[in-house]
Amino acid sequence: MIKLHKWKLLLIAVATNFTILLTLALGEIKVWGEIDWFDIVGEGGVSLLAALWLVFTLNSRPAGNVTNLLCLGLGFIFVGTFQDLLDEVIALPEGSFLRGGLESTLMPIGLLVLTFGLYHWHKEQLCFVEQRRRREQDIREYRWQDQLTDLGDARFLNQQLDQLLRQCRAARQPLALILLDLDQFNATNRAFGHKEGDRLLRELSELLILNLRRCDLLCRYAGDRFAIVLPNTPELLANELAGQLTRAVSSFAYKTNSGETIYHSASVGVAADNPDANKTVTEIATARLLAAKDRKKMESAA
Amino acid sequence: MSLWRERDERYIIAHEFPAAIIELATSRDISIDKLLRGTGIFWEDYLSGELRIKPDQCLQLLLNIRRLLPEKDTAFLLGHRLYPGNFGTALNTVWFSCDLADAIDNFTCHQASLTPLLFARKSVDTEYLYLHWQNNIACGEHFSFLLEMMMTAITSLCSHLTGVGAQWEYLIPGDIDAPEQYQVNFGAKVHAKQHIAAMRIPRQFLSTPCQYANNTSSTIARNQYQKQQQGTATLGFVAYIDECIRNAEAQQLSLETLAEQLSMSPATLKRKLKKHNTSFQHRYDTVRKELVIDWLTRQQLSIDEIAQRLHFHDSRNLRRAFKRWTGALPSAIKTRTSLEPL
Repeated sequence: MIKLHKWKLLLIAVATNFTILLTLALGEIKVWGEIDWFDIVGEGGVSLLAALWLVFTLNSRPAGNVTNLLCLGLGFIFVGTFQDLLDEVIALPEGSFLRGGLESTLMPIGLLVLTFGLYHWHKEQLCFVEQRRRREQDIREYRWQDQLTDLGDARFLNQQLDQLLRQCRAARQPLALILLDLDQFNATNRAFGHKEGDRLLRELSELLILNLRRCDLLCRYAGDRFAIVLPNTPELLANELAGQLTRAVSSFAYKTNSGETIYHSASVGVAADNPDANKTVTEIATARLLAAKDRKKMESAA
Repeated sequence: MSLWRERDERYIIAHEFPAAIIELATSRDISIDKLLRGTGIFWEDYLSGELRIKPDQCLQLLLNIRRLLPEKDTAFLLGHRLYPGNFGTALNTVWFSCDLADAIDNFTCHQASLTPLLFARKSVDTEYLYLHWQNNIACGEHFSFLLEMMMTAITSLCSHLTGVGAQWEYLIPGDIDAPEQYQVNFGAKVHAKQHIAAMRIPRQFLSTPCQYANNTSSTIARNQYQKQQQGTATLGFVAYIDECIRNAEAQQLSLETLAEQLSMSPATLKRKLKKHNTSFQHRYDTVRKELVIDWLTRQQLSIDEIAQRLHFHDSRNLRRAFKRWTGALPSAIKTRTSLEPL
């Protein structure tokens, strides 16, 4: 990511260099005894942290106006604090603008620009949150995110399921869970390679999201099995939604890299939460999914 | 001719087993430099198709992929990618087998190339065929990762060859960290906390025909393999020692008697065991634990009988030792006739 911002970094480096030259031209280097090491550590630390923020921010952002604002703000802060640090090793004549004046100008401007940038970042983020709603609901936890599909993983599912179960039970609303599993996914992997299989799972997750409601949560359970949590949904409606998903999967014409079309079918297990049952909703859904798979095998054998 | 292989001998063909690791990394856009860091493997050598690496290098490669892909499904993904791979004649013998029994037979016979880090020991009783997975060569912390990988590989291979889904049951030694992965990859018949690492299949499925069955090709592959492997050992040092202890069940064994049997000094044996991060007592206890569990659950022997067979002073001593090995009493293992599913 940082490669996108090499011009900005170069600009900051040039500005830093310029302040060094200017300070050297106007002042004289202090002798060892004159240096206050405590100040060096304090101001150096601030300067270093500002540089770190800059690197982290640039490394995680694509190019664009918001990034430019953030970079400009942090750049000002960095140059200001850096000049303050130079002040400690180079004695400047009394009354010079560089002596404190530059820092006092750059810091407030930097903070203002940064604030403006952060405001726009916030607005930008709101757009993404809406887009990602069916993937993460209200919580984002990058450690619980599946690397391949960007969906929450099984731990995220369990944690969210616990929370939603509690909420729904308290509000006396039904909650349903769908487990969806591709049929013959291993055969596809063998025939077209695992890279195609990986891409199929990614595209499939997009497809499933398109077919869900705003309140539903899609997670990757494991392998080719997906889990969909449906809050405030009775079993009948969950069955209907599961039917929509399987129909969407079977008409999904996946294109391999070489342009071939592969069709898949999916099996589902649907379960509604029953607080009195001694099995969890996931266990019931898993059992129903396996039964559905077995039925399909029997039918194809017959 | 050596009877076993040690961790610093170059005998693992790099484009066979390690290839699955490299293939997974490249498919996930991991840089080759990062993957090969610290392994001493050079990309050009790997591509030459003639590179042989040490188990140590293979373990480092495994460590690297586990760091680069820390997700729970990495072992399973590797398992699915392992076979048929580029194993040549060793896998061809399995590929052209006529039925499942034949395929498992060929797999265990040619496992030196097919599974260089874990040793698969086959045993059959009236109901089941068992594949026990054991440490072949100092795999240490990677054992459970390799276990997941190899169990997935066998499951995937067998269901591909026979064209029917898994009838395997899985016995896992400890707790299961990611039950979701086990459910999706292994189905419902997974049993945790079994103190042994094994998979078993009811014997009636062994006659399931394989789709590429070709007797002539299988025989040719077997002969080719024998010619290629002439004079080389099949077992890793740890598995070899385990087998010695297992075969000597009737006699009381010590480091000294075992060293004599292997015609080396006790000091040398001790040093070699240490090199493989283990000790005689550890091996001795591990094998005896497996024997006790085997006899208790499959042969329905009494504790007294087992104590006598293993030269324990009395059954109380055996109970105490067993508790030390597994944390549970033998009676707890025995009464668990029906395995609790996950």
